[in-house]
Amino acid sequence: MKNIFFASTLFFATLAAAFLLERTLAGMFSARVPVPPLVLLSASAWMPVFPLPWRLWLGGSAGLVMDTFDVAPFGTWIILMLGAAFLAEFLLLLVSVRESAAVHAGVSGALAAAMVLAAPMAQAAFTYVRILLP
Amino acid sequence: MAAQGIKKSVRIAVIASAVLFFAALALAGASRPVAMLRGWMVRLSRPVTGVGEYIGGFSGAPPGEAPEEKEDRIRLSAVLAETEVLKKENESLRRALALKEERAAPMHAAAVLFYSRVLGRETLLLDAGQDQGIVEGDTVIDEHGFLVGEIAEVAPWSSKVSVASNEGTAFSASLLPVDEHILVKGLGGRALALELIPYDTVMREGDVVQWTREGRRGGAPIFAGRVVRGESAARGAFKTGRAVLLAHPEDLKHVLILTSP
Repeated sequence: MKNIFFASTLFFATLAAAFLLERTLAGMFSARVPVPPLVLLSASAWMPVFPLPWRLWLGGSAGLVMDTFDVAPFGTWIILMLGAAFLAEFLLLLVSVRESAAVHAGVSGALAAAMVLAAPMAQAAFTYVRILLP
Repeated sequence: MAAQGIKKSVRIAVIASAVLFFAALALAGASRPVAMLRGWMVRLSRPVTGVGEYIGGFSGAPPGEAPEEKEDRIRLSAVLAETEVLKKENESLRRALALKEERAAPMHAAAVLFYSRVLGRETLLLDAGQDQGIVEGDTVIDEHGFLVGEIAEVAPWSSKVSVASNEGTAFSASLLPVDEHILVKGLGGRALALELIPYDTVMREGDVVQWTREGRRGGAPIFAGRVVRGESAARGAFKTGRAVLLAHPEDLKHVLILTSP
């Protein structure tokens, strides 16, 4: 991306649009129809675009938004998004062609899947840590 | 080379500062500065959530059910459930020939700022928190006396409610009208699993599940669910059943929080 600040603006705009869509879907459908985690998916989609320092700050911000509005203990998604930023760096190191759209999509999908799978474990671990802290 | 070294140092410093900042933010979630930040985020998101709810409201109730019919159905469920409890209480009073003073449980009203349903878990965000005497584990009910859930996380000025039917929740309850103590577990999607029901208990569709308060005496009954699957094959000494949560968290504008005495 030539202008990283423009890309960051697009990142937050995508997050806001995903947030709006999540609320709309939750209001439209009954409780038995699951609503996908659109904020998480949009954050994962943008992760491979940015270098690691930017990825950490933007991912942490997205995690802050998710923690504010999700039932998981506050801090769960922040830690998960920081982990995802490092995981994205690790995955991108494994491939030689970083700018490929297929690589981008693959890494994004892997990040989203990893975070959804790790969320219950992170939630349990975070609850335990909060019990230990004064 | 020196420039590259400086660039690398700056990069490492930015990475370290990001990790430390967000780790501190995550661990200090209950502190006042972070609570203020979260409060401002909720306020800033109100236009977005308002638009979302406005658009979602056009879809209305499920086909064939107008909003007025839905409200009537909820009110009828409350009346039917209360009738069962009143009958039981009347018999108890007649047997004992004494009056019991109904002690009202201390409670606090709170506005619902936000309803969320992601990955099958429902959450409510309330505008009351530690400053109002609310602690984690406090029970939340709606205006009809139906169980909504419990306080999952509390900050100085806000709190999160985990809806009672979320997967992973469990609470003790009574099955009415037989007044049998059972265990209720959340399955997600407003479904409740009824467990530890003695094999000889008669359980029918439409029976009511009443939430039982440990250590509390008196107070109005709190209803959790309505049985949707009656008798099921017994295995061993206990059998299971299924119920649906009576409360409608997505419609709530205000809730009542039963604070600890």
